[in-house]
Amino acid sequence: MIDCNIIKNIQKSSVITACDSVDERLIRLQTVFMYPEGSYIDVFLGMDNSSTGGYYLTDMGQTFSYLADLHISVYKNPKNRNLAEQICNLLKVHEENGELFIHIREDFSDAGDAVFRLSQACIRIADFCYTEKISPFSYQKKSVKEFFVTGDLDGNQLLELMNIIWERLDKLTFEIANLRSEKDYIMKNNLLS
Amino acid sequence: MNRSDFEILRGLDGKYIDDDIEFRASPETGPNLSFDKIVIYNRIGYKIFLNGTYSPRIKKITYNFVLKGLGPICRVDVNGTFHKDKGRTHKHEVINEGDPQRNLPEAIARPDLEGKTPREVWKIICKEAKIEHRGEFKEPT
Repeated sequence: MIDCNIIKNIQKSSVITACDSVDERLIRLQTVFMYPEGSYIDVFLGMDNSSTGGYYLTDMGQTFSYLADLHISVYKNPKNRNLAEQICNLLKVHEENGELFIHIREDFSDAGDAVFRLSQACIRIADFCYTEKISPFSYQKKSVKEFFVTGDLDGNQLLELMNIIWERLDKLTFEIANLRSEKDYIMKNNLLS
Repeated sequence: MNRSDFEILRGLDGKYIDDDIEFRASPETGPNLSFDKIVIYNRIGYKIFLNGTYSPRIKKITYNFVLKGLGPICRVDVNGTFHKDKGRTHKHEVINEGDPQRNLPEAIARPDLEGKTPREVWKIICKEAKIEHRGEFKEPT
């Protein structure tokens, strides 16, 4: 069994602000570190189920899930995948199926260091949100204006403009489909009568 | 999108979802179950998508609404990460213009959602946001 008494030494460093029990083999530690939108990073300390025993520290997949809420994929984006691997290698953090974790010695002599490393990995990977363009509209107008005013774009600029136009066409197609659905809904439910 | 736009969208009648919602294991979300790309149809023609995550072990639930091209506009977290002084169960919304691009930094505490199942939380969200879910909701285990 594992409970919060086990982390007294780590808590002295003031990095851990709260601890609560998830179950007999897992406790949740709230850290002072934050994800980009202001929520505190949790790390979980668990008892290993393997025959060798021991403990491990994990983010329970929360960092990759954080990015998934922003429609940012680590696995499907080669750039993100490569960056995540570099970060994990540098910080000696393991990643498997979207979960970040570190094995801990049974005497907890490396636990404090592990909390810092895992938290740092969570922060750095969550920061991928700053490198993704959530709103492309800010540069769309400028690119279209450049095209019509100068008529002179290089290959990359032309490709960017084509992508913008394609995305707008995609949105327009969706809107037309929506209007059709709206019309069907109105007709089906006899809302005009 | 500003607060007024968000409130208009939230209060809009006639929003509906046709798809089933089913939480599944994903190679990218660790021990969590998730679903993605649920379309929310609406009269304005906004492209709104819903994704969700459920962590069976820590009983954490997330429902996240994204306006394509802008970013998240609403997110409900139950037993999630502690957000500022709003606790682990809270709801993020658009309060200030630019909030979607910053992944909704503001939230309101929602202790009424604590301890509820994913289905119960979903029903409350649909009622508050005036969404009719015409598909099936499959409770994750």
